[in-house]
Amino acid sequence: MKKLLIVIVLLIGAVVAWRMFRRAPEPVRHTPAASTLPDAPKPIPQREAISGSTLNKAFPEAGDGYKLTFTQEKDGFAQAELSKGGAKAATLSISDTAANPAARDKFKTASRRIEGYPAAAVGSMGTAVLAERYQVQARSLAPAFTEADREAWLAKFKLAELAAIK
Amino acid sequence: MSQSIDQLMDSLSTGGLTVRLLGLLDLVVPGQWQNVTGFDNAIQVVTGETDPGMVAQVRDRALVLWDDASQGYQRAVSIYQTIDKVDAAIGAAALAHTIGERFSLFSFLDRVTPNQDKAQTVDLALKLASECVAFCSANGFPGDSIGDFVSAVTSYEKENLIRMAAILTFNGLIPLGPDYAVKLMDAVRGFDGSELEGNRLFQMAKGFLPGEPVRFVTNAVTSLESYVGGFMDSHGITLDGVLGHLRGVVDFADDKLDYLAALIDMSTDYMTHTGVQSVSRSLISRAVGEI
Repeated sequence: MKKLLIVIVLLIGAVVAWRMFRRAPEPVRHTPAASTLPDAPKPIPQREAISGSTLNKAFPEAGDGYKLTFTQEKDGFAQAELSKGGAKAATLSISDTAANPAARDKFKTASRRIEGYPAAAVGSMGTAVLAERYQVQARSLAPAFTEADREAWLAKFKLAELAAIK
Repeated sequence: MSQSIDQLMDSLSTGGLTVRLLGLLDLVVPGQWQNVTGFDNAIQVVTGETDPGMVAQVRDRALVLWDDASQGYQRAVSIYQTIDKVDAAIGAAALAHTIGERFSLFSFLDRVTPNQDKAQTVDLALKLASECVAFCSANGFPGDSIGDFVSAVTSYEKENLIRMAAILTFNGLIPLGPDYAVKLMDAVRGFDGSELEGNRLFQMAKGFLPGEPVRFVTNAVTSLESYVGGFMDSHGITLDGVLGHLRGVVDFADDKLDYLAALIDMSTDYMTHTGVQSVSRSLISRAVGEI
């Protein structure tokens, strides 16, 4: 009980902190390149951003001895780490490509599909699928977590629900 | 912020007292910390990718995210820098000659003013509260449940864990002794604001502490009670063990541990050093997910 109370107090403090940052953002510095190129990466305007907590809901359930720990949550981005037996296995993330439309390019020529969505490699350690505007990516943190494991975990995401988020 | 994250990472030192002391803590908490310096190098370490084109793509995206101050990465680094600046009275320059050799605390005694226990607990409380704010600033508020959030904080590893070990060892265990957590919690529960208002670190930190600062510090620190109290046991850290390792770097007497702690505070920038590494890791792991 005491532990729970402690945790609640910490939670409240963290929420207050988090809200303070959102309420009073520092001025944004744009690079000239970002403001002049049509498809240039850009921060998502707050009114258009999909909250990280909305994206969290599309993550798969942990299982088969794997543990899922959420590690980062920002507007338009959510990330978790997958570990097994205390050892890191992979990073899983969802990002809103509205912030970086160029990320969609690699899926245009994709020959492979996962659960019906186009899939592409992201370097040698990552595999991604595009569910409408959302990129879902799995990245190996250990050699034992293979490309087949990445594809299997991508298929476990709630991709259809994610694709439906406007 | 005048420097971008790649410049900050590229200019991190590979030696000097800060790195030596963090390395010493890594002997105590083995295998947790590598002194990763250089932004492109960090991209390779974090992503496991070595292809220059891929590294460049991650770098470009990371810098866009960094430049957007509302994303919180700049704020996190500035919190770490603020904490280090307060006690930078001696600074790296004065200790430059100590690189790679032992030095004596006694040659600095006239320049070091140790904290009384009470002031030391205030400093420790402020560093822990600042760490909470910097974590949320860099990583948002991960997960949907209380359990998710606590998992993220208590699963600290690598740079985050070594920084937490440094805070609790250099600002808790060494100056306050093995019962530092009890002293800290007793002090924090008795805060009425006057101890904080008179504290130099608080004057610098209250600009970024959210809400009502005194209440925030109290809530943040007491909520970490079990984590802070159990930290040394769970990582097998003892005062004798730490002091044994420290003797390889500095000459000191056992009745001058408050001076030793003050000297470490005044001559290192371990918050900034590991903070830049932590923020880079968060930024890079997000950037690779977004390209």
